[in-house]
Amino acid sequence: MRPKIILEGISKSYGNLKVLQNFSATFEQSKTYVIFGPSGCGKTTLLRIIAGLSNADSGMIHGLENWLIAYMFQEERLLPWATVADNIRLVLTGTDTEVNDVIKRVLELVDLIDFGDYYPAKLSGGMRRRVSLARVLAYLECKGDRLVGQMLILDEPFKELDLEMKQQLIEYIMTSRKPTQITLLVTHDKYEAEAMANEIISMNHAYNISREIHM
Amino acid sequence: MKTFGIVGRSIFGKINRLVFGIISKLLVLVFWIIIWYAIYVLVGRELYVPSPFAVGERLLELVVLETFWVEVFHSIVRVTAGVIISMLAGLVLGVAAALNKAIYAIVEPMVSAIRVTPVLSFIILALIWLNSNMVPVFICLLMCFPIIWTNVVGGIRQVDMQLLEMAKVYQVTKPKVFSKIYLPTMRPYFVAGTISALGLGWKVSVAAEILSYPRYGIGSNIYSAKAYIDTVELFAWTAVIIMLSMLFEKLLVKLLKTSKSAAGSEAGFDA
Repeated sequence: MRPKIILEGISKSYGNLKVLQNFSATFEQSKTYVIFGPSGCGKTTLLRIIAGLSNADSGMIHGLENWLIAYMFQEERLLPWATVADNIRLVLTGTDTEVNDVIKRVLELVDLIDFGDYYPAKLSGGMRRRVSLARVLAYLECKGDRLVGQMLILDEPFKELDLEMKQQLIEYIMTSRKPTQITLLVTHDKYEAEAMANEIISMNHAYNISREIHM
Repeated sequence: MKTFGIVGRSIFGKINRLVFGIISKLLVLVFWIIIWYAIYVLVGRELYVPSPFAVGERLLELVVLETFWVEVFHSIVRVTAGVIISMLAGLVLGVAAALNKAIYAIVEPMVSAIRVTPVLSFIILALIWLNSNMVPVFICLLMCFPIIWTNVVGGIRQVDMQLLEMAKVYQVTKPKVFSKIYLPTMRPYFVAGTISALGLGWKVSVAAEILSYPRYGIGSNIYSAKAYIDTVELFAWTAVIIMLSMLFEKLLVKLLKTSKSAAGSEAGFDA
């Protein structure tokens, strides 16, 4: 049986503000889960807890040991003093040739092959978003095979991208999925959700969660 | 040709800017020399305020002497040594203190104490402890170190927590986090601190030379000028210090800029 990631009764508050209450879900390998919901309903908090960047006040996550977490943040989080290529290189390991090959491949994918030696400040918002996406995909490609499973977490990855680029990247993410990979996508865009989701998890401010299965 | 036109215009633009910069600086210099001359005329006694022409003439007399360069060389070595040791100590202890609360708790009171202690107290103490050649180096170190240390600590603390979080998620190794995130964040603070420290370094080193009176040094000459009430000589040596201090600041800025562009080219993409 393939390993699953099980979230059980996750709750989180910031002071008096309850963000997540008793959230439970099961994530299966090779599937893509889209998390849908209005701003402030706890989507990013949930991703941060899964990525180990925040602790839940209560609840448990089962099965994440020895998994690779590849997290594309809502913000680009690029080093302003490093070039596009070096921002990607930072998260990779391997020989120079291997690393350069991966960088070249992901930059071609996001249509930024001619911008490897540009600094982030010289790029538009959409281009920086693509660099951030290229970095997470490069990381997944470079390190993903060494572990039990991979969780690709994408927090609004296609924000500010045009439709053609969006379609191209969605296709790549869907076709390059490893059988041992779980993809979590946070988006506000119905098109993205429907194009990628095996299951849509809708959250709201009342902590209600509904699920819609797509095949 | 269009391309030539653009290149030609850019070269002419650069030359124009350079010439304009030199002329404007010369005009500022002339303005201050006129003010100096006016004060000289108003005071009317060379003993109190010498004329800029007399000082210029003395400077010309000095620079042709071999001993002038020996004196200047010794002062340069002392200031350079003092500033370099301060840079190293400020960098190492600053990084350590910023990343470790216990080290900060130990070093911070010492830095605060140095900052508020009058420099003369240290000079007199150093005169008892050290030989006259080492006193200016020690004083330069004591005065420059707190500036660089404070800037390094401040710089490291400005690190973007979002970048650190990103590095954590992507399992970036600690040495890489230090060299690729902490050091570049701290760099402008370190550079600003070093430039300030260099200016102060010249002032306090020469002050220490005046009191410790080493065999060679600008400060020793200033002391002699004072002893012989030779105001022209005093102004001439002071002008030398000002020029050296400005020259060193420019050299340092150039050096740090070069190291930055070298780091930038190292970061180049070769795919």
